[in-house]
Amino acid sequence: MRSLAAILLLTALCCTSACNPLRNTLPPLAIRLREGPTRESFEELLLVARAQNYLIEFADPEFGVFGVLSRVPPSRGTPALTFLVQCYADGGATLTVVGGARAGAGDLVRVPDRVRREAVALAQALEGRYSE
Amino acid sequence: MGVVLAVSAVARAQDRFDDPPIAPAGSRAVAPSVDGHELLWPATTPPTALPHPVLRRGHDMGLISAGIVGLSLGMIVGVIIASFDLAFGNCERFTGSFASTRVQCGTAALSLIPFAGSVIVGSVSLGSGSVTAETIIPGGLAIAPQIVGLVLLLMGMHGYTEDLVPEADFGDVVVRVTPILSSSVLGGSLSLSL
Repeated sequence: MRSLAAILLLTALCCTSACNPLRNTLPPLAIRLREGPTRESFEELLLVARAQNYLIEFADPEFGVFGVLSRVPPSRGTPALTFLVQCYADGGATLTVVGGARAGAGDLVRVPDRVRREAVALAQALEGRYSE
Repeated sequence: MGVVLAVSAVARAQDRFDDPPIAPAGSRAVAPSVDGHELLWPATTPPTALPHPVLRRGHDMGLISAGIVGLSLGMIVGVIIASFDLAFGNCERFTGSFASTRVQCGTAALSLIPFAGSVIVGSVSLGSGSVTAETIIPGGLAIAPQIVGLVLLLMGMHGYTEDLVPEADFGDVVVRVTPILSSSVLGGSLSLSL
């Protein structure tokens, strides 16, 4: 009985981190436009995405939005995901994942680890960090 | 053919995204571009967006902590068994007339040895080799959390976790040494700020 209680305690402790429901979630990632809110900034983002070998699914400079297909191939538990980049008039942009399951309230999307790493790398490249 | 496929792919993609965020209510003209078209970009970046995201990789301290707790728990049970042995005597010494007296097993110090020590402590007498069945059970209770703890510890040390954090969270570690020199006091202070 004592051993069972100990195992239950350890399982509970383990679940505080390993089974954290927010562990594999992705919030919108903010990107700072280097040239400000201009069409040139938008074109530069497209160029960077293409330079990273991303396929542009669609692009609408008027509304400041474009989508690129994730390079992580879809599998049984992971549908085809798209990274949506939305530019804003205050000189910022956001990168969000479209196609994943929502994780609770808010803008969190549940994604596999590989997609999360890819999204962060793309956001860093679009912002011009660690890529020059 | 390729053009048709590309156009249909764009059309499908736009069908998927037409509904929510392409033309939000907060859209406004920013500045006329070179070709005269206005940019109808949304006004402000959502505050929930994570600025300067980086992935911070590290060990799963939850697993490691659980492993340490398990190992410690097992060791504590072993020490408790050793204490009972020292206080009441877990082993039995038989005399010629089949009468027995309880004696200390003399293995209390083995409670400080993980795993095997916890099983032997209080159940085996190194002198006579007599084993009492009822004390093997607590020995098993001591080793079970230790095994679970070791497994969790190995899992925690072998694997890693990734946290998505803003880059600013890394911060700097500042170590400041301030000497104190006066006519009556000689010393210093060390401050560490993260």
